[in-house]
Amino acid sequence: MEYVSPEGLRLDGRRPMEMRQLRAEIGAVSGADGSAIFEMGNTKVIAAVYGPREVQHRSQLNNDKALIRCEYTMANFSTGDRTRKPKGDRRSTEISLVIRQTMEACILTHLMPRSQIDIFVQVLQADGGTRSACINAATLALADAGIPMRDLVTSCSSGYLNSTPLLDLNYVEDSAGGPDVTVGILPKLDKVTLLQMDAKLPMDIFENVMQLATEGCKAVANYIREVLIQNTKQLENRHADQLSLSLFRKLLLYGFCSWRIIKFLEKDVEEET
Amino acid sequence: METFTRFLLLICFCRHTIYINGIRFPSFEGGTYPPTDRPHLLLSVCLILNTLRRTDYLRLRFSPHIVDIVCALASGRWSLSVSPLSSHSQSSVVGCVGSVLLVVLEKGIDHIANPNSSFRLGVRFCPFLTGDISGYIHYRMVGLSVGEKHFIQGGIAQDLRTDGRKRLTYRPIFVETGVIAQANGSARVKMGRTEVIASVKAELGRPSSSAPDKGKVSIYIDCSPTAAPQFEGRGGEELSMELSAALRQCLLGGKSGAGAGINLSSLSIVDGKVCWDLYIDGLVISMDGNVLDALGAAIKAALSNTGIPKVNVASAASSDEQPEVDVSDEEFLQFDTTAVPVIITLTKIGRHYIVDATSEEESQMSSAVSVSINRQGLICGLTKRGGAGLDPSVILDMISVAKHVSEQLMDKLDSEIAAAEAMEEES
Repeated sequence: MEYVSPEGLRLDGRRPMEMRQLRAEIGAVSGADGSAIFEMGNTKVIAAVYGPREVQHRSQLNNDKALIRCEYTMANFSTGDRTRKPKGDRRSTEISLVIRQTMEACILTHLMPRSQIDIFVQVLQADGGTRSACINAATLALADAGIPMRDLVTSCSSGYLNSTPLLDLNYVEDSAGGPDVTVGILPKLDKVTLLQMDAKLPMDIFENVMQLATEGCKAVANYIREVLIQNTKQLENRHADQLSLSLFRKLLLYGFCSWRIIKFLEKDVEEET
Repeated sequence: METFTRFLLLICFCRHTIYINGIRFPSFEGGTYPPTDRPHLLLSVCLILNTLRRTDYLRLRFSPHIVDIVCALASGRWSLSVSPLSSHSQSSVVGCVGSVLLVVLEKGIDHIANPNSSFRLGVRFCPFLTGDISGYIHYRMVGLSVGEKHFIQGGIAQDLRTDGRKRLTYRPIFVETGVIAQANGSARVKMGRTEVIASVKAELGRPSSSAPDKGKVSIYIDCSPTAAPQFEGRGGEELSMELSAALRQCLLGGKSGAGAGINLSSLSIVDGKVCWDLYIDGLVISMDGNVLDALGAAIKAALSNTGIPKVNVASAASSDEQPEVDVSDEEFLQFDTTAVPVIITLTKIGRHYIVDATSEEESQMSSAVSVSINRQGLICGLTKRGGAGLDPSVILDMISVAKHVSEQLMDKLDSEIAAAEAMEEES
């Protein structure tokens, strides 16, 4: 099958080095300490962070650092054909582990000894690159929860089909049987925290493909940073609004109080006379 | 420095009867003072009191609620654990609590007034103690305190609930349709802090032999661990099953499909041979009470968003063979949702019942009745939850109230769905 047309366009009309559209929303789950929705094209995931909080199981308590836990679940409707998978199958356990290890590498766990942080990732739509989308969503959710991190972790995948390196594979390209390289980086420190690949690839081509994925990660990092800055600005504005509101309330209160006192005194005077 | 003196003053204050806005502080009566061997607790109580004074919270109707938090801290309803970085020395513990509550002073009490959530703040500064102390403090709500329970019940009795609503008022509803591209129809519904997604997938199948002229609809609900950490692993299964069963009862009618809220005959293609199987999947993303009503609304919205492909049936030669069907990729038939009912859950708390209970209120319920009612005002299904028994006359009364409320909810929901679909078409 032809995955890249002679004009250099992919099946969904992208160029080989083009990423799908990114969209992120912070604070989607109001009950959680931090949460985010992250979309990469049709792939859509929600991440929620609870914690740092008390350790649930005493045996897992760690005296010098925080315990990080992660659970990855897929909604029934997330895939093309509807399937009811049992919870905790091999694939989701493996992805949970990958996400946990990746996030553990960037969270400053030593600052929160004897506590636990739960990361829950829920896939709403799967169209290739769920692993990357989950990591990106988890980063945003952790940032929203105010958990100290070394750096953001961002992730992106790339592949190699029809002798062309392709960035950010979708489901069709992912299931084409070519290599799928998933990279996670700490963009500021410029370090790789996650690297996975299936299928075989010559060394020199692998270098290119990985380079491409790293570039993708950096693009995601720029986007995430922008989203976080926007979010912070909004919070700042809201804080300023609240401040002025409380000032207004105080003025009202003082006004009301003095009115009450005057009334009270008047009443006293009336009673006396 | 000024704040610190305030704290000290308040500590002295604490040792005597406490009055806030002239009302005697209930939980401190009968000698339930914060134990003195836990100075950080005492200090935090004082600090919260101080916060209250600063943010003028006492003037709001919510004030008993906040007072409750203070009582709760004292009575052990909130557990407080401190994990200082370097050592467990008394001063650092006190310092941590102190500085955390200073952050509370800045952020307002909203953060800790939020039940069922852990409250956590990173501490970086500690102005009235020397040096930097960093650590984390977790507050956890253990349950509702006695005073808080009274407050919720009292509010309901007076027709003014903790969030300012009346007994029969819903929280604002937001609907977004077409959220899942791969499904035939989908919707996301928010009711306050409760958020659910419903998706509808249509697949060709064989009708069951007992109802050859009807299609099949199945409803599955999942509770995502994002909604609450206790749904992790298999933790959400019980609730998921309960919700699925309740929704089936409310929307699908009996086993034969008779009396279903969803018109099953419209799903038939060839009698006894081919029909549409509708798979309705619900996902609870965020939970703050009244999940069933939200799911019902989401399913209604998702169904009205559903396009079922048009099917051309090649005339079958003999009656035994399975007819060949050709599913169109372009033409879609809109699913008729005028008959789909809405679900109204009336939660009985004390002597009264309320709609759209939050999780705090649900924790106080004696029983709840969920009624599904369609446009014509007909009851399509009914389920009762909760342990306490209900008087039959009360149930009848509840149903008539639910019918009245359903008209408003139906109108509200219809306009929200129309708005959401207009939005979707625009984008």
